Amino acid sequence: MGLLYVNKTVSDGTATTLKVTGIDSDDVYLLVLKLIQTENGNETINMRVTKSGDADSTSNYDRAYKVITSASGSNNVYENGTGGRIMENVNNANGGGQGLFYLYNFNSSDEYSYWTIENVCTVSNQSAGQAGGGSHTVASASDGIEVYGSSSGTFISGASAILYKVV
Amino acid sequence: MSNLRLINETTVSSGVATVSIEDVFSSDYDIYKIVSTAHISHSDGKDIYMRYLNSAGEIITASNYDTGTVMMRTADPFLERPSSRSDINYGGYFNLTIGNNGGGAVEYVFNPTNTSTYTFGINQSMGMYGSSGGYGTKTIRVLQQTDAVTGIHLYNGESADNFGGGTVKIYGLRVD
Repeated sequence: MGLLYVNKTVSDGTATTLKVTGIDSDDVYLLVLKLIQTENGNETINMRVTKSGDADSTSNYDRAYKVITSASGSNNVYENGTGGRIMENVNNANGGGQGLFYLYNFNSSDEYSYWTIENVCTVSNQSAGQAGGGSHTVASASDGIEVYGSSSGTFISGASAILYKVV
Repeated sequence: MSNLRLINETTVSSGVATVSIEDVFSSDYDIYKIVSTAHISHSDGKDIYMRYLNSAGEIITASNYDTGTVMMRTADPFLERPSSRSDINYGGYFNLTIGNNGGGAVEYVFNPTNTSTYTFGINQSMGMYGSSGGYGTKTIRVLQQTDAVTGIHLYNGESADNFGGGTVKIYGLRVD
């Protein structure tokens, strides 16, 4: 498997969203997130797909995943959210959260957009990650993603969203 | 050209007790991919555990690791393992393998040389649990230290049985 770099967005310390676009083919893409940390303790991190560069906030996001943790794990499912939860909690220290998300069918105009979720995060009282996936249940093309915190936190300098094409 | 760049390929010799791969993490990359077929030479399944190496090449054994694993065995319900997962002196499971039947693991390591952050890992593996069948794991690990980490150390966490062979490849994920 090879990875071809497509695009990235790196916070300068003032960004409240991390948007990357550039999906323009039917290939599978890999979104890599690193240093996802805001000034808010244990902030939840969400993702929206972009349509022609604009985040879609309609209530069409589903998710299902297993929480893997140094404490006690759980399952999480949700339908018809206004965004897809991709990190349960990231603490405001020591690097926050890191993750890998494979993106499927984003370029298709007649299929939904899907993604897998793998991440690991530091939380104030534990370390935790997720294994599962999400979807945007609208049959139209998506050209990227936008990452944001549920409390609108500002991402630290170096927080990155990096997009690769899988070849 | 792929943005995954091969940094190190280590052949695991049959009969060795541990595998240390030094000086593979550097400021050149923030994210690494480890692909392993290392396995333990034993008739029953044996767990390969993981620790990190510090900048002096020493094994980090301080009780600063958090881990969590969803263990998926064909003979059991899914389990949360290991029993102790917080502030322990090792990084948790890397892979469970059996004799010459082998197994495989893929691990991603984030920010090992960033001295402002912890070192983070995501692992997925598949092996065999003796006569009980297939044994898969999905693991997270966090070394709660901000000192630089430069390599990995694999060892049999359950017994004195040695490795039977395999290879460990480590790639850096380049960001243009």
